[in-house]
Amino acid sequence: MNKTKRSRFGIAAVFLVALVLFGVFYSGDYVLHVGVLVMINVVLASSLRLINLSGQLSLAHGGFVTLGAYASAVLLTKVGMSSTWLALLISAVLAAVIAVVIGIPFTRLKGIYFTITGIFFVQVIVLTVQQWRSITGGNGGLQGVPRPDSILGIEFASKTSFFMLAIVLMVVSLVILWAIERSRIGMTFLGIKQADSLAESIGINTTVYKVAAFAIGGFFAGLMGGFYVQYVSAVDPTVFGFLPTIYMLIYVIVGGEDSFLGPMVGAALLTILPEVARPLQSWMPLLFAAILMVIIFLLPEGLVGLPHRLVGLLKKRTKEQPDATS
Amino acid sequence: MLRVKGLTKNFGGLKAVGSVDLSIEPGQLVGLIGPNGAGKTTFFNLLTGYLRPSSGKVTFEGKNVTGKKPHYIAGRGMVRSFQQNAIFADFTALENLILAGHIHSGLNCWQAILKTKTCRRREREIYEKAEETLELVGIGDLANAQAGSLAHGHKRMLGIGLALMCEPKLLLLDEPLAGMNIAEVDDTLVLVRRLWEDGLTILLIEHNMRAAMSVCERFLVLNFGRTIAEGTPEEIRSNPEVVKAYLGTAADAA
Amino acid sequence: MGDASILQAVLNGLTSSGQYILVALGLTLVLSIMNIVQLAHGEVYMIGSYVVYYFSTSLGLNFYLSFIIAVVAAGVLGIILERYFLRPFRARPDKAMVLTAGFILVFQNLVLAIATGTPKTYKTPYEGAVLTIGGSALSVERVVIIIVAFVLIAALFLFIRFSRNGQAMEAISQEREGAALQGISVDRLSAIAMFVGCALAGIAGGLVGSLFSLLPTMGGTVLIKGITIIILGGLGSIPGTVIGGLVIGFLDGLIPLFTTQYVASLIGFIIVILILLFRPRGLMGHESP
Repeated sequence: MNKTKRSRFGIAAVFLVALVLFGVFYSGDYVLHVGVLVMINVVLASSLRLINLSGQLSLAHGGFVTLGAYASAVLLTKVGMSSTWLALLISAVLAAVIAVVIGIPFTRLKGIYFTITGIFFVQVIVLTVQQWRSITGGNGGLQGVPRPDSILGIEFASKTSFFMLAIVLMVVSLVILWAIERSRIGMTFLGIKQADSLAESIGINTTVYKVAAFAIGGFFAGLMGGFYVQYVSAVDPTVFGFLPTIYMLIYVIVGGEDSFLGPMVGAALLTILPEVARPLQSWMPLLFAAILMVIIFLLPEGLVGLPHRLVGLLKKRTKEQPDATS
Repeated sequence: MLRVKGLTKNFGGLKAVGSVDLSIEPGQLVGLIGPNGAGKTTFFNLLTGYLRPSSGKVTFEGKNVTGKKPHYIAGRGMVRSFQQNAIFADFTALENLILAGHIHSGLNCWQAILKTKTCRRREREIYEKAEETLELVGIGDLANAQAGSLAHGHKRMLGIGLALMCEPKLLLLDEPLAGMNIAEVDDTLVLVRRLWEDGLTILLIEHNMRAAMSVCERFLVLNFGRTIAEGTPEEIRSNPEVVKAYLGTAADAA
Repeated sequence: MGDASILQAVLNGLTSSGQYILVALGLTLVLSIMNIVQLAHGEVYMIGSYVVYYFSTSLGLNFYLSFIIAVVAAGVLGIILERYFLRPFRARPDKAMVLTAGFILVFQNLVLAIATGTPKTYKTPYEGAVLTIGGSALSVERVVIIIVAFVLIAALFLFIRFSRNGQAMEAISQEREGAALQGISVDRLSAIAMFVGCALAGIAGGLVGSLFSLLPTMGGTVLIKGITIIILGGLGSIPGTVIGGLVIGFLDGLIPLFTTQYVASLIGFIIVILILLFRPRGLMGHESP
């Protein structure tokens, strides 16, 4: 038990060092840019999975990202806030607060009814930023959002600097999500997912936990929204609307929602895929849908289950052939 | 300990539970019996917060708990089991009980996330208590089996274990014997008796009259949502109303 | 408001209602039998419009024939989706719902690839025809939508009420397990629900498509309206859906007189949430044991 734990930690550390070294020595802007997007999507998918962990299939995630993105954009371009870091924090906190406010009523609903409310939530957020032109710039969105202030002497101008910042944000986010998941809180989420009225009967305030999962997910979604807008310096109402929310869900399912690694793998592969398969660009949504279906049908545990499956298949081949009497 | 006054539940025009009174003193072992559809489980759901009463009052240890949430009521010490196989199927048997043990762990979320020293000590204690409880309900050897894969009788015992982990003052058991084989029924009755002798107050719903008669000291009989009799086993057995109510389902009662 | 404009408002309200009810009925049928919200239902509606466009405008076929082809195509699509995609996930409604989200991507992008993103329009043979009642001119196109919609609603009622399958659907929507015990084939009913539901969406799309320009993304709003209606109507109740559709359809016509579409959407959203929270069985339902 402890050994696998340690070896997992080792693999994660090696991977992280490799990522940092890559950022230090590689200077191709395009690849670094894709890297930043990958890391944003990794956090989005992982935080969405945390909500799923508590038995709630959420389609509200894009709404929180949009909230976070607009919070930063409005604070920095309209309100005149001077610290980008404060704006980033507010992005995350605002999304979490809204998640609590809507989560208290929403999480009372079970199953598909909870999921439906997410669709409405995203719709309302998108409509709001479209309509509130004086603040949000309407359909055109907001441009010229300043880049993050320099910190510890690091200027955020080059792709490399953003790549590094993305690593920091991603690692911090994932460590927190991981700590929550392996704690009693994560165990309680799983318990609620399996049998929520039983969880109530043993004294678990399921509402508090469900809202907490929703709010923690919302926090990181808002954080990534804020980071995104400070990175690309512009936002419009539909970058994180209904369809992008579906994509986030696809990352989770394709990677494998039962493991912590799953959404990371799903987000990374499906963010990189459209870039390496440029000629297929316009077919990409179809390809995504096809991948989703293949996974749901053939590999319910997601891509992370693939190695295990393959090993199992190989063993079966080599072992069972002699005694294949039946 | 528990006072129920005029507890009523209407579904649309249908009166599922009509003005039931009940009072349980510490240390009692009370049976709640009645034919199928008599409103026993509905009554339990009303007591434990799973349904909101239409009228009436439930007081537990002097506190009004009418219409409170199930987790609140469980936290006060009134803990129930379920008729269906209510377990956390993907967890192991031990994990089931560990999760239930956290209710009185007194840890806040930061301690839990950061795994502080206090947290680790408390978790150790809960772990040990979970192992003891598994032994108590007779499935100590199945600690690491996946709960969903347990045999029916073992699932039922695990369900009782879950309730016991919550340190109940009053334990409400909803047909614990349903679907059990004869040996399991005996084991369960012995367990119930033992818990009671150890000082636990118990309210037991049972469909199996004979089994209930063998353990309980006092009875409440429901039919069509109303109390038709109350008293000692002898009084119940000779009560014409009860006999009449059970006649239609005589086969089940045997 | 004069009599003529009141009549006009009623007509507009009924047109919107009819269209929405046709879409929402499909969602209701699928929800009550299969316990999922078919998220790509708006796309089936969109496909209905495009099929009519393709056959009537691109191939120059007779409009009525194109319309029938569209309806059949939508219904068959429904059967295929049910049989090969949703049926394997009967026990896992969450997975099935993710799949239907995937369908959205498939249908939108297939249509985009085939028909491109430029808005399309087609005409009905009776386009521009006007019916004069009591001094006010009514567009025949709208009258047709109303008549077809309400005839179909009536037909669906009769089907549920009197046919064996219909009664079985009613039974299963009320008590799943009991119905399964009585030997009702959930497979067949699911297929019927998807066929009828998708065909109705196709009819709505085919009829209404002539009033607007077609875009591959046109299904989104319709889905939102449809979900709103089924929530108002009590999630799975057919009479509820009809009433919910009438409410939303008429509000659609009236709202611009009082407030902006945005405020209306917001209010609608809040109402829907309140209903879900306090009357989860909709405006007409009540608590059950």
